[in-house]
Amino acid sequence: MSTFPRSQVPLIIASFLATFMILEFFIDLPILRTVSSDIQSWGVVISAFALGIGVITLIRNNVGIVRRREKDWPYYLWCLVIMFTMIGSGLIGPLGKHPIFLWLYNNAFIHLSSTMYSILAFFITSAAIRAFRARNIDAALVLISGVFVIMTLAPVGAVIWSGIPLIGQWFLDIPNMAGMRGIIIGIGLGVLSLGVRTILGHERAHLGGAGGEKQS
Amino acid sequence: MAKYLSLKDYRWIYFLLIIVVSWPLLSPLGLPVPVGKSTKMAFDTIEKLPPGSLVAVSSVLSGGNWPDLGPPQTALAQHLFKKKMKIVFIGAVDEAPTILETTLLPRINKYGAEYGVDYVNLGFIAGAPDVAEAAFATSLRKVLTVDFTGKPLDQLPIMKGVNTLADFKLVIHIGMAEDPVRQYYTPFKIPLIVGVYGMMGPHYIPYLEAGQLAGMIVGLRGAAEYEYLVGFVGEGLQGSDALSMTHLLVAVFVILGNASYLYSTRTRTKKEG
Repeated sequence: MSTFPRSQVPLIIASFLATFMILEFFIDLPILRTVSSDIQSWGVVISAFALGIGVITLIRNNVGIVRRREKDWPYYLWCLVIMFTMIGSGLIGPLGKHPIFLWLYNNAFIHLSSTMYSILAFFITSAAIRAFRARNIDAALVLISGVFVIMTLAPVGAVIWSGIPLIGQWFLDIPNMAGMRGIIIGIGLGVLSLGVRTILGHERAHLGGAGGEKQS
Repeated sequence: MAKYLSLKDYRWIYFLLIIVVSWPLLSPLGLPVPVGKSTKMAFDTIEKLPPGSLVAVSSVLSGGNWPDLGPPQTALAQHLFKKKMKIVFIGAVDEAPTILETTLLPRINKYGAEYGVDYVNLGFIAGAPDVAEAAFATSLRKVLTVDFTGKPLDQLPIMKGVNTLADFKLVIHIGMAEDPVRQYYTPFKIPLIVGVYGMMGPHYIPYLEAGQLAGMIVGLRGAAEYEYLVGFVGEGLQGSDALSMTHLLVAVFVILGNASYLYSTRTRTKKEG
């Protein structure tokens, strides 16, 4: 074992499991189906453990920063306080339905999360105004189709002129779909080659650390 | 002229955006909501199912994506309850089952549906959505033994004889469309309806045209269309006017920005000439 490089072990496991899952998809055998379903369950179990590790790492990092009084340490402390408050109130019975947990979740958490998402509206608006400049013919075409699609996706477009949704839908159904099909097929081919590289042990990015290429 | 149209200070645009979003929410304009093809396909698919059909609803719903994905799932759930379907809710992210219990279900009319008999919340399956969806579809009983409330699945009448996705008549997924096409439609060939982010709608049209999707609700706009079809006033119809006015504002500013650009380009050319 000492002569066997340790870094090869995860590569062999990944190659074996990937090959097995591909075989299961193409060959309809009960034994393959059973083992494949077990492997998928392992994926869920491993992910559940990863969640626990995430919580432990967060606590360790934040406690260290607070102890050392590093920059912005009160925010890290606040993060811990809120995390334990949510976990604690969520665990008090009835599970996930305690009034304190529900109040925090419905009146603070959801609205804060939604606010973070909604800020996108401001960025998208200013980005659209900056990016949509008819500097040449190509840009002008993008601009015209973009305005029609924007107005098609809003009910007010049909109110302004009944032709807007027809033209916008044509842009969506014909040029957009053709382009998207090309992109989807391209992604599929890319994923396929990545899969082959992973099975053959040439791809190492999934092992962590820098660089995905095999050093020869 | 160019100075006024240059739109250099974006704070004015942000201010106008706040006004344009708030005004229709406080005083609805009642603009018409034309129903799109993908929304109608989703509605017709559910309408054709006989009452009592088993339907799986998986989602990646969370507080962050609620404004875009919450209204579609609410409208679809309302339709399923109205049609007396047997509904199995499952979360592909940790927040999904909680937001279902605390925010979504209290907003809709369940038409007397009984928990455990007519609908169930199976909670959350860990892993990236792809892993969770694959595990739910192929080995439901291996990854889930109890529901969200901790009750064993064997004690729930709705789960009797349910082992894989093949036991369902329809599957609805709220989130992205690629994962459920891969994990639900391709192996099981069960009709699949998706509710997706507004900005992702155009991306998934090829899946719809290829027949891999039986319907698609695109963001808040799709939810408004679906609510109109179901006859339920929710966040979709309430936010539809605000969405319209925001899009209109963006279109107006794009035109103004280009007018400014053309004006300044011509002025510069004249000076140089």
